[in-house]
Amino acid sequence: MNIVEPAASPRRSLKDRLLTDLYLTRLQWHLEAVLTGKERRATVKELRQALASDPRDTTSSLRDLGSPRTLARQYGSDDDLRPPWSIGVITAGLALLLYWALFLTFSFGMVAAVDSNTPMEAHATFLFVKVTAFSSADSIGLGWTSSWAWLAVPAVISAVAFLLGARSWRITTSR
Amino acid sequence: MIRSVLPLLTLTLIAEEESYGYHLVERLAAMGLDVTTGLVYPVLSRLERDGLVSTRMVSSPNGPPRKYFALTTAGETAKATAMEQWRLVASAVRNATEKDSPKP
Repeated sequence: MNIVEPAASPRRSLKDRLLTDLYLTRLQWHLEAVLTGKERRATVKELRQALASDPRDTTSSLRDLGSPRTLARQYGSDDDLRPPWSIGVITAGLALLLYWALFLTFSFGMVAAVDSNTPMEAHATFLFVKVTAFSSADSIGLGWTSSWAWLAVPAVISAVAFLLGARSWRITTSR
Repeated sequence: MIRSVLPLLTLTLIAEEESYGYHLVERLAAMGLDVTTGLVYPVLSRLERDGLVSTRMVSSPNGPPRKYFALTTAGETAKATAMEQWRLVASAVRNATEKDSPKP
């Protein structure tokens, strides 16, 4: 049995290892839709070994694999896709971050408005949460009041984002 | 179109010579086919999962160990079946396209 003498693999720098780890992490998220946990771990391990022994530089070898999403689809054996729960979690996290960013922008915008017209008090509502900003000669303040909305609204936003991000409807059709 | 014949090509090349993944890409490129590792690696994974190829790790003086692929008995059978199907398809395509070719 003939064994081909392989070309030498270049030394991988820390940046190369981080790029590889980032690529394989993204691939794992998408593989969740097409492979079981055991198959997914074996595939990622195999690809990590293949990338380590690839004679080209890391950027070229990762580019040749294609996007993680497209590569993951190649590993699927049929069209039945599972919900990628990890992507759902990330989508929910990003939605929550966006909500808090908008909420804080709104609140600090109110503070800026009352600060420019001292003394002043302003009241507004941001998605069922009452926001109060006030300023006087020697103080400035911001407050929120709500009985349930402060928890329920971000919870609903996160849940919807999670279900959409994970394409949860696939659970009715997946194997 | 390359994607549909890649399993047959991969089985044929592995039957000729035991190879690791990237070497198969190089051999396909030498045949004039522009294929990426992103196409070949999933095919190899599927062939291994279906029992058509066996694998072993071979240590290399030039870097990390590499996974080599060899054909199994089931792989030989699958290759023969795929080759027969290819002959049928190629013959049908040739007959159909020759009808459309402009007469000299």
